[in-house]
Amino acid sequence: MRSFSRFIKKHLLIFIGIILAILILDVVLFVLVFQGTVYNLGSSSPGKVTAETVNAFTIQDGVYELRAEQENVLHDLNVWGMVIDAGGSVVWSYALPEEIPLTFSISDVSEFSRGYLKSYPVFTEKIDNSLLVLGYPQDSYIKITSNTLPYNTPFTVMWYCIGIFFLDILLLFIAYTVSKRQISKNIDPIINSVSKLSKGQPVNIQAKGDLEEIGDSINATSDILINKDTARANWISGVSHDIRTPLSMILGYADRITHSSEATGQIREQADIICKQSVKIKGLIEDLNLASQLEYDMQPLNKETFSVSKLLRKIAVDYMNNGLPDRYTLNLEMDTTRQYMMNGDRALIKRAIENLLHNSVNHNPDGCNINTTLVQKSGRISIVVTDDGVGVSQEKLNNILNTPHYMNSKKNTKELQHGMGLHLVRKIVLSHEGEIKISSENGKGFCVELIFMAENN
Amino acid sequence: MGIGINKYRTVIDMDYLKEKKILLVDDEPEIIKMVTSILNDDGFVNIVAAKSYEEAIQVFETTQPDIAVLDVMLPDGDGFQLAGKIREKSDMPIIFLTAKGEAEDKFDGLRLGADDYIVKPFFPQELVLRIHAILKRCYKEENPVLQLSGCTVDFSKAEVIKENDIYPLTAKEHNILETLYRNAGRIVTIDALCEAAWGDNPFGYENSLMAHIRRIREKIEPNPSKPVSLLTVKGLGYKLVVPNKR
Repeated sequence: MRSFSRFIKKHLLIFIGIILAILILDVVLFVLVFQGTVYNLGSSSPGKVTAETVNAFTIQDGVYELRAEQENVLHDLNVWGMVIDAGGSVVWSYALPEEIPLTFSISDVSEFSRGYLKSYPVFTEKIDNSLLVLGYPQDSYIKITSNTLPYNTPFTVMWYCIGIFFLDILLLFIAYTVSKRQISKNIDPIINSVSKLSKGQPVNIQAKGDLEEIGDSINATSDILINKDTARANWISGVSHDIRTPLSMILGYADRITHSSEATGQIREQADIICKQSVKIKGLIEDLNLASQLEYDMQPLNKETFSVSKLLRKIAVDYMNNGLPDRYTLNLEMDTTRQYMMNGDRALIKRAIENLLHNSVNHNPDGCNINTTLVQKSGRISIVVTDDGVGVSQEKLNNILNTPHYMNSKKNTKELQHGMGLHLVRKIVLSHEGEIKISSENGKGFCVELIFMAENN
Repeated sequence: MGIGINKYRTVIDMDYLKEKKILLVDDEPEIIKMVTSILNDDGFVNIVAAKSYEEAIQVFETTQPDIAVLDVMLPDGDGFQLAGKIREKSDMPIIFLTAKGEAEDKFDGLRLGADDYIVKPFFPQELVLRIHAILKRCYKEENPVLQLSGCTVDFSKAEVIKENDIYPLTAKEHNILETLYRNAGRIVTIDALCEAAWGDNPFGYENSLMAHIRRIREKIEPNPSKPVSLLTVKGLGYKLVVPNKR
């Protein structure tokens, strides 16, 4: 999310830059387009020509004489001229069109001096006591006839321009903020889903408008991921299913040979090994299947409220009834007046505890004392399974605690492949929002504590 | 037939159960062959088998078995359907023996009124013990007398005969002793015994259970303070030791 606002801020800067560039471009374009006109206004503006013409006159005894060079100028510009004396009579003229009268009243003068004479734009200048009038060709200039402004108008215009400038900036900023908010509103769910997706969780976003396509692609990606997970879980479950029947046969016959009176002692021993290894495979495929089901959320927890003390007694008794060799002892410690109720998937919790007992038995072939303690304290149930067996070294313990299981790892080193059993225990505990603590020391046994929320009863 | 006599096999102390007809349904002939020999070794003699849904229905109708062991995946249907079909006509116990191990399948099976569910691969011993337990539970009216070292228990009359004296059993003592007997040679948890005596989800009956156990011992044990038949497994439960039984 932070990177996103940085992204937006970067865009704000670019946005401001673009506005400045546009302003500069506007000025440059204005200069380029109107440069000629402005120049024209400078060199041969009617005002200038009129003033030059006035200076090119010689007046002697009321007779006006224009110098020939200036007449050529007027000719080149296609301009006619005349001088009107104080009485209103034309006393001098040059190329005067026919339709122009030769006498003018004061009101006539007042009228044309502001604008046009017979639709010729005319420019006037005082000369001696008379008036010089230059007529430019029709349609050559526009004269603004009503150019009266109140005195303070230029100031108002200045303030208006400044005001408009800031108003525009404000409007742009509002537009920017609104569009940013709009984009955020649409993009936020997409960003959230993408980050969810990266954690492997399924998403379904309902994006509208321009982002609908992106939303659909993300949904499709999520579907593909889920399908892959489903396919993987189904594959594991299929393989473990197919292994079960042949393994039944191996286990069944090996067990029969183990107990057969017709077989020799050595054969029976070997059959017993086949039996034990088959049981290992049996446990492995069950763990693998369960772990993959939990991993990909394929199996919903069948939660119920049950008594952990009852469950522990049942597990211990099953273990003993199934022939726990004498070199192992299994001891339960709990307050028998309590029920230790919790809410969870009974079968999975059973599996987790069984796996811990299995580990103690399997890693201590020479026997050990296994102690299971059940404690309920401040709303939590703690199940501690300890043995006084061989334990593991600090290094190996770190390995167990910190390296991902090979099911979750891309690496392919042997070190990663620690037991499936403990991995499943961890998965089960986490799926119950519980806690798992593992400790061990070389030669000083192995201890696992599982902590779950107790159910108030 | 078979490889030999199993050391661990349950000694035939209830002959009538061995006469029960077992229907085996599995599409894998090798499994049928193996399970048949396991059951034969254990003394079961009446075993009928079928390899498909259709065949199973046919065998079921012609042979009237007493217990069915069904596979779930059959070439022409599934075991759950088969169980439903059987249930329409018979209340005989049904055990699923299947390679499908997912919890949901288990629930499907048990919801259909199956009595047990065994996931492959399984120990022959496990299958035999479960069939025994279920047969004993379902056909218990046929087992009236239990011979213990030092006394005889007649469950049908709810009495103990010890040294020519007759001690009547109360209903609770009867239930407790019967539960122990059905699991003879195996530890039964305190919880299971309380359930047998006081019904579902009992709690806080541990002391009452101890009192009942003491009274049962007074009736069945030659020396109640040194029990030889009804043993305590500390913190877990009790075990009934039946002669000739492990």
